[in-house]
Amino acid sequence: MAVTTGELVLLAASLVALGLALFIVFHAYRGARRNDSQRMFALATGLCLLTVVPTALSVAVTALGPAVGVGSDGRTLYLPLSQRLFEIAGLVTLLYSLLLSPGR
Amino acid sequence: MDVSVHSETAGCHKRQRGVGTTGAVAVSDDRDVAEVLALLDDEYARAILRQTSGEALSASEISDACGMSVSTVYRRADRLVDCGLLVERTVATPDGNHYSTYESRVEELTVSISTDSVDVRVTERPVGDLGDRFTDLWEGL
Repeated sequence: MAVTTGELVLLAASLVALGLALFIVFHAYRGARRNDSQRMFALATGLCLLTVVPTALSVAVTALGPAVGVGSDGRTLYLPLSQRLFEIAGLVTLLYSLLLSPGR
Repeated sequence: MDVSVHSETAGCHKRQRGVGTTGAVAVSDDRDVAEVLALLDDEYARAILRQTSGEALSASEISDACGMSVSTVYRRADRLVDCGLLVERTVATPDGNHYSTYESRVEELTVSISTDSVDVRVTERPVGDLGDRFTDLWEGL
């Protein structure tokens, strides 16, 4: 299968986004551990669901999809659907973090 | 390695925000202004601030780098921490002991004089762990 320049640029951009997201989530998680903060733990989880998981899914499907036989339904319906669901879960987790009383 | 942040400031003035935040802090109490100026006049205190700008060092590292005794470092560092010019952190070692590291908070220090008062304003640099600053930011919401 021929890989177009556009697909390579998309993959590169996704990997950059993934790296930045992992960096931020990692520091949120470290902050949660060091300060024993439930709110920060929820923030780290929410950011992970919101940023890392959807990007990782799209990279995985783009890179491995053809090899494991993901059909066009998978790419145009199931992939975006699962991404949205993870994003909803992430946003709910962020909301939970905001609603937790400070200092917990 | 486990690092925890000490609550700073007992003496000089009350800081309202967490350890990791940055900004400007005004020192207006006469006694505190005198203490800050006295510390700046002290060559050992200045050496500690210079050496720990941008890098957290232990008392023995400061002692080696500045050529002063460890007890001098502790005496000056305690006063600097009380004034909020220095941040102290406790680092736990795997064998169950712990030691302190020190890092300068001072980016810039302004003295303003009017007929009413002598004020010192400290512009603080961001110090400390990114995770701690992130926590302060989020918990401060």
